[in-house]
Amino acid sequence: MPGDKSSSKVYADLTSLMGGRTKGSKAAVDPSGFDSAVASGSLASASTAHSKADDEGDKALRAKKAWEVAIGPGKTLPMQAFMAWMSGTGVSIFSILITGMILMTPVRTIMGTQQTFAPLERMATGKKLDLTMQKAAFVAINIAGILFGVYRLSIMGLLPTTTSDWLAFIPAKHYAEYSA
Amino acid sequence: MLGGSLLTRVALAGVLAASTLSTAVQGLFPDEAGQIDWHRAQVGAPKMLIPCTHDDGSTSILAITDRNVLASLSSDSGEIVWRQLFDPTERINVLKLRGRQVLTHSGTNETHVRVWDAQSGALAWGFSHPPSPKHKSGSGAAAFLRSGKDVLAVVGDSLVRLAPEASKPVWELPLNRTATFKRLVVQESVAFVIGHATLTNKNPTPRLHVVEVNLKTGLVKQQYDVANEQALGSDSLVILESEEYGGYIVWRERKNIVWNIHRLGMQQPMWDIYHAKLVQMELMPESMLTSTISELDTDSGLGADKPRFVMKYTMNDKVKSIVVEMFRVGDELKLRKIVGFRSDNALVAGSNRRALPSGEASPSERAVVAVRSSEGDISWRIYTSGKTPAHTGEFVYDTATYGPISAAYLYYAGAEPRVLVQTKGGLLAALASGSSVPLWFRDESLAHATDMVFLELPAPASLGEHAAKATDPSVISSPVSRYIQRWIETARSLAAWSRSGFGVFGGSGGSGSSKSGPNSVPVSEELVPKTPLAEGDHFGFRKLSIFGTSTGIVAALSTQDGARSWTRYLSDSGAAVSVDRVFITRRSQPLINTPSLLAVVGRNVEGRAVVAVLNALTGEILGDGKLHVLPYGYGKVVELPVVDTASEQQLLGLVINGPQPQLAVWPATIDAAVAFCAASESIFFDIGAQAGSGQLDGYRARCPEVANLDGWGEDTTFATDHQWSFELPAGETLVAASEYHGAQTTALQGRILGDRSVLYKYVNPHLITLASHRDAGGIVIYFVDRVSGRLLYSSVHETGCVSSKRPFLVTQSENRVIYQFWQDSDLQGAANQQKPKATKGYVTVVAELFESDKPDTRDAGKTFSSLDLHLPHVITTAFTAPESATALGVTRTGSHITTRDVLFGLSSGKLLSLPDQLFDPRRPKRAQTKDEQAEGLLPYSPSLLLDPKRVLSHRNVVAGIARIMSAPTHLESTSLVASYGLDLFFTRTSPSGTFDQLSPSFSKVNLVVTTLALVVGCLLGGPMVRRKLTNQAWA
Repeated sequence: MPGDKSSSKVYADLTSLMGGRTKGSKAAVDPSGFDSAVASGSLASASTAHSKADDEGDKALRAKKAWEVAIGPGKTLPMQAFMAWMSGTGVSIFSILITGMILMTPVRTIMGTQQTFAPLERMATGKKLDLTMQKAAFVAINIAGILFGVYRLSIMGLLPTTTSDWLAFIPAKHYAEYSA
Repeated sequence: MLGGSLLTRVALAGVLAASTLSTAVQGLFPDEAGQIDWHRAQVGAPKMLIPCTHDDGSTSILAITDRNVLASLSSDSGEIVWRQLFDPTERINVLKLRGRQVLTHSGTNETHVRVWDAQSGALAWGFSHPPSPKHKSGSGAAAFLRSGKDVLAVVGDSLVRLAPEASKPVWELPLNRTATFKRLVVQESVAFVIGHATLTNKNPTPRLHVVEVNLKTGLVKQQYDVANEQALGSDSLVILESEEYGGYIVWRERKNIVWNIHRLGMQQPMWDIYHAKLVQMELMPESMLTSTISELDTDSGLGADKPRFVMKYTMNDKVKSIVVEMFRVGDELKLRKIVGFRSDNALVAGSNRRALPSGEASPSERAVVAVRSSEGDISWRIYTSGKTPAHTGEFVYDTATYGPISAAYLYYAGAEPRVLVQTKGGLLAALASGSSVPLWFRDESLAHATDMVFLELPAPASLGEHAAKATDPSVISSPVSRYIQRWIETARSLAAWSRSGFGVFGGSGGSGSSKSGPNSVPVSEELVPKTPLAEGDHFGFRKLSIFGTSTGIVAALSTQDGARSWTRYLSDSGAAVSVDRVFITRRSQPLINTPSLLAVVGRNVEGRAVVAVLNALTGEILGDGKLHVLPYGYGKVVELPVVDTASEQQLLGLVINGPQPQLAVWPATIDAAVAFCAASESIFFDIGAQAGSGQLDGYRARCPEVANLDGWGEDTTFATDHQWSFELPAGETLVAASEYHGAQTTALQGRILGDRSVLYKYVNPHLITLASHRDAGGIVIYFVDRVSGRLLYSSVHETGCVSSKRPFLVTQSENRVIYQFWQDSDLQGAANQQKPKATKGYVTVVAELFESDKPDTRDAGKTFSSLDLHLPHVITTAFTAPESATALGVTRTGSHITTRDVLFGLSSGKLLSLPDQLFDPRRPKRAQTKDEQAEGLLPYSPSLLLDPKRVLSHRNVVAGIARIMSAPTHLESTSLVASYGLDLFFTRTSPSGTFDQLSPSFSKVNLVVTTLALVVGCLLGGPMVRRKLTNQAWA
């Protein structure tokens, strides 16, 4: 019967290996890929055992990855600028769409900052990685994108920044005298 | 060469085609002509009428009028057959008719003698005499010779014989200023020139001077004085002409009962004839002393085989008239009474028919009509002989509408007698026997219009409101009942619409109803409408236009079709009040029963101020129909920014000129005076802004303590304090002045430039534009502030010149002043010879005023005071004008978001509307910059073109436009335009296109049908789709 010890033709007792493994003894090398902690059923003690060195590497890797994510929008900026340049400064449906996209994408991205960084933030240990700098850079780059959009609005003449934009709200003067 | 010119032509055609394609079409749709506009052709109040029978047997009436028009009117309908317009300053003095030829003598100093064809109105020939320093003012007469086509005329200081084919007079006889010659009596070989002898120290008695001239040689046969203390045209002297018997002067000396008869050309015999013999009856001496005589026929030469005249005398408190005919037996002259009747205040006129060649006078030729007006009607009687009238008739007429009769004429259409009556107000009506309404009438009063205002009519009230007004005011206060009423009304109008065959959808929409213009059917219109127009329309197209005229008429017309709403004749002590200004002093509020009030200000014959307050909707004169005759004259009338709380009327100010000018306020009550005094500190007025003046003076009223206002009334006025003087330099005279008309509304306080900066507009309601003529040549323009008297801007046009024929025109609107004048290159002074030669023609100059020359620079503060030093920055430019104009105007809309078209009343009878854009002084004179392109500035082109698509008057000839008025409608895009002068023309225009209206081609039926089709589609398709979905779910 399979799995039944008594009816097995070949039987290897590995308990000696388990118990006899002491510090410094290299009598038996674990096969590659074998984790004695897993085998002995105590995962927690195993991770603490070997995390010290790996943790740092993971952190660095995650931080690096986070930086890549943070700088990502910056790479699209030249593309957007090119599209903006192509669409011209005239007020047309196309240029308005492009400008709308230039403005809305960073806004939407900023709103989703937490979600974007969430997978990188959660470390294996359950701790949260501190990605403030990356987030700040990510937001800053997106703000630059917004500013670019605003600049485009301004060169398109769509920002109410001049006196003429407020002319309609200037009340007529009151006349102090009456002539007849 | 040929190829080149062909190429140029093709290129030019291409450019032309491109330009037509690129400009937006602003013209009128053919179906709008005569629908959105109306035109009334007028001639003015006639001063002489002559019935004229043409070769084809038709009759027309020739007229010369106070508006210097020679016209032929159809005797059957009163319509204008033809009219000839004389220069506004060229008074027509004489009208004579011989056969087909009409002779006119016109002008005061420069004299014109013209002969016209009576049937076609074409000029046959004419003669002009240049202005002469020797011209005797008031002199002027003309007559046809007995035989041939030659004409004899007094021109300048000479008597001339003119022949049609000759360019020069056949002969000219200097008259040496011996008299003011006004009458010519022509006989076979001689003519008599009769006038008032020039008074000298040696001979100071007024008398007539007669010069007898040989017609062939033009030499004086004799000259002598006759008829001491007599004058032509007085009621105790007549001149009788007869081909057979010669000419006679008949007169009665003052305080003498003896009549003198003098035969022209004979020093002796001169007859004395006693009254009794003249009238063939015995009279009491006082009756004889007060008797008067007058000539009977308009053109006394026409039917003068047996010359006749009318004598009026009073006996036993009854006024009687007799018609006396002159005839001769051998050498003896005899007088014979042919008709005698009781006339009272009747006007007597002859038929003015030429006797038939057979010599057998038919009764109609010698007929006389007596027209008498009494309360409520006009009655007329035609006498041919004896005491009994041959024809009588009555015409129901209220003298309060057009005034009493001022003249009567008799003419025959075939054998039918027709009586033509003219009233002091300017109505001309043809009456026939057997009818109490006139055969036709012409209302010529509005050719003498002096002022006009628009009155907003209340919007059409719903049936609910009508019902509420009629029965119970509580209905209208309940929203529920109002809502129900509105639904009932909608249902009713829907029912009415379906009954009308679904023809007009939307009722009084933009396309208007298909009524014919008032110019075509003068007869069908009622003389006095039974119900005045009391309701406007939803769009504000139908308003009342209320006119005041110099003939004493105040009349209200509908702006939509020109239908008369009401007419009032204002008179004081028997004479018409010359109306100067009309003002709306109170506007009725919706749902409040206070009527709109109209204040009419005019002058009576003594020059005193007359004020009447009328209900603007009905024309009823308030205060029991009484006019207020104030004990002073006035220089001008102004609206004051004060409302009298008691009567809710806006105050008017009457400025009384004099060394110490005074200000009177109307209503002349204590309440009004107190209200005025509360605001008088900031109210300024000025005197002297009229042609001929040399300086302007500003004043402010001085108010006494309120306690001292006791006893305030119509005879009290405010003293004034002199504020400032604006003196023109020596050698300059004011030729024109213009101020703003009505309150100025501005949508935007500045102009947006291409770089999105703002040039702020300088809108100063106190701005007055003065144009003065320099004796040394040229015109100087001044912009003056009327509160401070400060000069804001001035400019000199070296080559400008102003004359009565080429007037200076100016209009102000918002921050723009537009003026037009005649530029004469000959006036270019020696100093300016180096400059390019100026063109000869009309020049239109536009000046636009800004707060500063730098963009985005504006005076801080919410209040504008003229007393602060603040000079405008003025940008000007000039264009050559398309044609000579007689009036300038600008369109007005509700909020002035729409651009303002500039309106020109042209001398050729067109009303032209040119876009505001063309008159921009900032139009670049070089290649446009990007900013200028962005701003939409057109490149400058020196000439304004007469674009036929922009002629608002389209096919109509609107003669003598003197003023152009504009009023906003409830649609921002659309503006009402009215012009008056001689003719009336009303239309509406949309300077920026009808952006707030559906286009005329928009099909409301299609819209409804499509909507219905969609609804039906939904109803039918819904169940089908549902069934399909259910089937799919089961499958």
